[in-house]
Amino acid sequence: MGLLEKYAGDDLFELIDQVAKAEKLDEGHELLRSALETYGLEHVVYLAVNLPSEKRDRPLVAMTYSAEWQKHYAQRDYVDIDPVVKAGIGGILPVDWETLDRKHPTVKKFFGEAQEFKVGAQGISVPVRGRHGEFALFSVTSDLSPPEWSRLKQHLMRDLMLLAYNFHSFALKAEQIEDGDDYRDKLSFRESECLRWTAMGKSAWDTGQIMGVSERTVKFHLENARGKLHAMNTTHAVSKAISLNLIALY
Amino acid sequence: MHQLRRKVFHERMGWDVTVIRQWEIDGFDVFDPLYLLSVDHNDRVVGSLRLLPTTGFTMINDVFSDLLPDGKPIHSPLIWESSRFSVDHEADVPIGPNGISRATAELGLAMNQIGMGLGLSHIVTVYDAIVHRTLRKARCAGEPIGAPKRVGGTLAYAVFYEVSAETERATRAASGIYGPVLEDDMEVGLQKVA
Repeated sequence: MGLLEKYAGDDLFELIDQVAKAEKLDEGHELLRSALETYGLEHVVYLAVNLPSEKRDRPLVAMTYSAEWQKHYAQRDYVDIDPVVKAGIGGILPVDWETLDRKHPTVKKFFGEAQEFKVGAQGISVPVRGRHGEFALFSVTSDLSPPEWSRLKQHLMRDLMLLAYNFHSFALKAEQIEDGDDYRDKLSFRESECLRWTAMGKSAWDTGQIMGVSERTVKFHLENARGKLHAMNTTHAVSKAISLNLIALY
Repeated sequence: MHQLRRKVFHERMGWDVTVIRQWEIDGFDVFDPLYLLSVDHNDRVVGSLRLLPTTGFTMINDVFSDLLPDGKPIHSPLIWESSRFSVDHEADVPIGPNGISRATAELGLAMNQIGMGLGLSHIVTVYDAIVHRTLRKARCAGEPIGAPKRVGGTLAYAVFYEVSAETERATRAASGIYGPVLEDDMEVGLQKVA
């Protein structure tokens, strides 16, 4: 079972929408953290570099870590040596903190200190790429035992990929960076059609029959529409499309 | 890999690509893509492809949008793009009952396995009619997203693949490859992140 499936459907949509409505990055973080704690996760950390805002030459960082660790981290310019940032920023694959090489003394010291400040024994960071050439890293940490953590991770990946991306979209909005998101403009006719039939209770197979395409094609259109609407799943996408007046139910 | 890409896209297909010091390299290589390489026993690169998430810049959205329905982009954190798929015809070996090549099958299996580890739903790609025909014969073609169109000298298809156990099963059946395709390190790494 995925992390978010455990979260009852409506609560989850509400949480994501609440995060999207939060005005400051930290508020969004707090919302996410309190939700994630239920699943044995300790902290949520978000970092973005190369954002198009003129006033920003330092990375945009928001985290739920203790004020002491944040201060310590900032004072020592740890963002420049943080091995998680280094590993995450050079690629598109998620980075499990366990796989990082900790032999180097600076890195060893860094993780030692992080532990003292109760950052969490385990962590995973998901890179996000956006349309401004920017780069973000969304991390969660945990104090679960290694076997429990490894089990949780397996169920967590897809949800984390979705959360990371949706949180990044929210961060852009909080920073007043134009997302270029006019949903009406971005959905293709076929995608809206698939959403509309789904809203009317048709399965992907039914919809395929009606539209004269394969069930697989319907599923692909629905996934693409879900992505563009920043929704967590198809049901959420349908409810967003209805509330945004993108599909008419008649 | 960049030399193989030069051989395939510049020399064989005659596309208008940039070649610098024998390397074919383009603007998408700067976005730190994930490259998959198929190597032979002498560690020579026989096939390669490049993966990028569709939330950033991709060829399908930023170069080939004419191939998409209503020209609308593909955009989801669960859909990645594969591009610059290349195999070395001289070094690659056809295997399986339908003549799919080893490098092609390995790259397809690796892409699907990585996608499953990350929880991706689909991989999209643009390829030409010749590749489509070969893959269709092997029952490994992607599903077209829109109607194929002429781009430059060739007929181009935008297609999607489902990331699934079913895709793996079909590719294994078509190629007869039943062993692991990712290097040990990679396999361990993925299990850790997945």
